[in-house]
Amino acid sequence: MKRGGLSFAARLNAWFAVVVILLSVALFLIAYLLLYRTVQERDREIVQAQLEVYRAWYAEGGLPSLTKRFMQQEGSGRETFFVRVLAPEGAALFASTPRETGSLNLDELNRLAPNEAFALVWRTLPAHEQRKGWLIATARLPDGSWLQVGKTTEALTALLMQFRTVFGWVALAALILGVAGGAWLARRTLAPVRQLIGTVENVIATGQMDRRMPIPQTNDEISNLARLFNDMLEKNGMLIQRMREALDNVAHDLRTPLTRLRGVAELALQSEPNAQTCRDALLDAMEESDRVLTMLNTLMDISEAETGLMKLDLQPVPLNEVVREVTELFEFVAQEKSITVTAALSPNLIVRADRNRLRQVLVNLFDNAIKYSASGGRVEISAEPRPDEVVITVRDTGDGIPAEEIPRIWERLYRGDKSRSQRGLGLGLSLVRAIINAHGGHIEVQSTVGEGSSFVLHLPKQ
Amino acid sequence: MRVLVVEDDKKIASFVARGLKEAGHVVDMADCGDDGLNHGLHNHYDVAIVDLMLPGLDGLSMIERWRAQKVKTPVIILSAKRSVDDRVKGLQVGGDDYLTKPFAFSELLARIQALIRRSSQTIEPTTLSYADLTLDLLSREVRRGGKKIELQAREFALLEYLLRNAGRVVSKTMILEHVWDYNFDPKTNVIDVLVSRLRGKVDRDFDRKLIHTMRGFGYVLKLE
Repeated sequence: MKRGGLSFAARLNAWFAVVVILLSVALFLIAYLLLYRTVQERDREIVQAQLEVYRAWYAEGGLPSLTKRFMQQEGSGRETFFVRVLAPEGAALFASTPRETGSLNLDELNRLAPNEAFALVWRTLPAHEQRKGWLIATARLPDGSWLQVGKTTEALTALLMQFRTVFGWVALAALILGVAGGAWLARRTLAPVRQLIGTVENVIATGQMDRRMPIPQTNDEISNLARLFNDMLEKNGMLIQRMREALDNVAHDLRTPLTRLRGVAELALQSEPNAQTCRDALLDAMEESDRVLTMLNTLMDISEAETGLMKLDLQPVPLNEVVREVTELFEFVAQEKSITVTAALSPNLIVRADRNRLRQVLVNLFDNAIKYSASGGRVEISAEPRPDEVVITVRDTGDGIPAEEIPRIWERLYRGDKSRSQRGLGLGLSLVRAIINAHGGHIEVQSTVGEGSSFVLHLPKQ
Repeated sequence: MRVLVVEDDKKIASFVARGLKEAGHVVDMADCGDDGLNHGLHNHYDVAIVDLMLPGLDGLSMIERWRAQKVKTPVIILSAKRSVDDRVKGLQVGGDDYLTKPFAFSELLARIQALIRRSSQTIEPTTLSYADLTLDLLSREVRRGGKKIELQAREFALLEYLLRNAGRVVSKTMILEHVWDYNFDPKTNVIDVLVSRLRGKVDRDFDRKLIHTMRGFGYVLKLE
């Protein structure tokens, strides 16, 4: 888990913290902007109200009236507002600034000449001192001169300042919460994953395929993953088990012919040295070794088909073509025994199968059917479509299989009483069934002693 | 013919080499891929027999390098792997034939002959004949000692195959491959039956038998 840079948990944590911080900052910006605009709006209203007062005084009797009333008013107005009256050409006629004049930069204000186009012009000027600005409203008076009223934005600045400080603390708290919460969340979310890792490490280290991980009761992706993982372990375990069994079986099945092989050689060595005896023994040995090889290959095929390891090249296969090939292969063999081979097939039957394997299946069934039929018998293959499968029947008029033997004919190397006298390994039907099952189909048999047997294959169409 | 055998198992290599020498071939041996590569690059061989599992450079890579260097020697691959995929892979990189271990030497010999014949591109004869037996590939007429023999298609195909390999043993696997185009052994007696039918037509009425069963190997067409 520690391999290669940051762990997944750390990354999850970092992402969570980043998201919390970004959200806080966005929230702050919105709140800040809203607050700023609200307070500024209020300041403007105050300034404008004051401006209206002065304008009214000016309207009563011009500048003298304004100055007179201005001097008469209570201290608050003079202390709070900046007032100036300018001649139309810009020369100052009257000016009053609150005591803290140092904070208002008049030069700056002068450089910004009032614009005639607007009835009311707002300006915000930075002050010399930090954190102080001025909000100035300029209005045109009826006689063409200018009236300017201003107010420091100190209160606004202070408020925003305070807001920023508070927010700073809140942001710090959010950050801590974000990191801690992220860590907690990551830990909590990844707990099942860590458990999974633990289980896998354990399985790899000890080879105990029966270990399972507990499935969380959450019914989400993680519990799904855990369930799938357990299923996979289960499947792997079964596969290994079956392969082990198959290996045991193969080893067991090979012992008999190998013993025979050794026996042949031993017997020849014990007898009188004689070229003909040795030749015969060597021929026996060679035939026996061919048998071992055939057996091994067939057993491998059966095991592969049974464990699902057999590679099937599944294609749409025209069944009638395959049947024709197979009946043709047995043409002479059937003729020799005077056995009639007939095929009753629906036209255009298509099955999804591995062509070679399907051929192998039919060859095996035909071989049996002819082998166990007496001279003059009949072998018949028929195939008909069903809604989602094709049913192929290979019927013979042969010896039939005793009822008590039927369940055992599919077993590997099982040979019924009758079949022992015939050539063969006792693997044909096992292979047939394994291949058909690997195709997703199944096979059944009906048989009556003395009347014959029918092998019925069910192959899926798709 | 000059044959290169690239095989690391000493016993198999010597048994193959001895058999090939007895059949009249000149044999060079290499016991690893790098050695085999050099032999193939510096000498001309009519055919090479290559095991796939070799120490050092493996058989497939060796064949690939030969082919990259324009070495066109026909190659028979020997392998213990019998799956269709392995066979296909072997033929894709430039092998010309594939034989699974364990194999019958007679089969290896027959496959070598087939490859040499194919690569020497001799003009296809229209008539095959052996002793007093002739088979016309165009009119599909078979005669023995002047007497016409009627054969069915499979019988004709089998006789043609035996005649092409006259004097050499052909295995049941090879017959299945060439006469029926089956690449698995169905473990049936169909070949025995076909051979006995052919015998009935070609040999029964004649004193000198041509078709012989070689127990443990297969069949051969020859005069005793």
